[in-house]
Amino acid sequence: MSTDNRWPVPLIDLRLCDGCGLCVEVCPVDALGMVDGKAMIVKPDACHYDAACEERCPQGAIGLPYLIVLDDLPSKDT
Amino acid sequence: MESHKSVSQSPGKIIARIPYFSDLEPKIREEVAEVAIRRSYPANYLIFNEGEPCAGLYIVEDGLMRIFKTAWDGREQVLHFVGPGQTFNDVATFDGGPNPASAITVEPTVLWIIERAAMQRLLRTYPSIGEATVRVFAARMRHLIGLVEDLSFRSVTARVAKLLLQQRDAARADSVERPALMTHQEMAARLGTVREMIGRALRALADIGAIRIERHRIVIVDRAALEKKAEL
Repeated sequence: MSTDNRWPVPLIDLRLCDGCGLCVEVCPVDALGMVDGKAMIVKPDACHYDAACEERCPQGAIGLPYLIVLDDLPSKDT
Repeated sequence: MESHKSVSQSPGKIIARIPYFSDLEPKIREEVAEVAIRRSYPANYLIFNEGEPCAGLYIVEDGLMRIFKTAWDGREQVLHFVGPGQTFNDVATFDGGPNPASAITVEPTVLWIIERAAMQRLLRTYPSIGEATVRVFAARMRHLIGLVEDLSFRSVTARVAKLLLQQRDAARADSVERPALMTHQEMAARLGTVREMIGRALRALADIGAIRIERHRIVIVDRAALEKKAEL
């Protein structure tokens, strides 16, 4: 789990995750894996944020955070 | 997510930031601080559920709280966020009823709790607390009227447009309406809708050129168009 604004990855609420593995199956870049019966981002650099995991998760345990920025902001938000 | 770290302050100074007590003499503020119980909580810690008996008035010393209602199907409606120097569970503290909403920590949070009986005693003893109470409740009422207006009269796309503008402005102003980093689910909980509708609304705003959706960013590219869509 990460809340790094520069390169965020999907947030997984481990309390909600029931380990069904559907997110791992649906991820097109294999960024997700199962660790100790819970979904984890195992390859954060591979994740390209297509939201397939979020849409597939039946528990609502996965969320993709978006940073809301103005086009004219300096690069500190990037 | 940005954090709300603050330097530890004396109890009197913290009490002075609370609208209910800001007009009191410093010595009396210390008296208020003495009846308060200070506790620290981790992130995502449920402080109380709606419907439970009221423990008292909660004051945020540091951190961030989310106050919300939960529907029968599990959907969440965020009422407001509460940051340092602000209070929550005011309604139940003053009317003696059950907690009208649930409260959860968004990040590690330090709270002060003043039990209902102690708060009532302070209210009877110091009239300025009563005057401040009217001001606090008027502000809350104004916020909730705005929420009703949004949920009743604005389309989901208009609500999303308004939220994007508010979040961006609030993040720049460093207010408690942070974070500017939000998931579709969090937006849905703020706007009385479901995650799928948020995705549709964002695509509609992108289609008219008001925003640009990047990997992990929603970029406001045409503020005027977004304001028009938000019906501001």
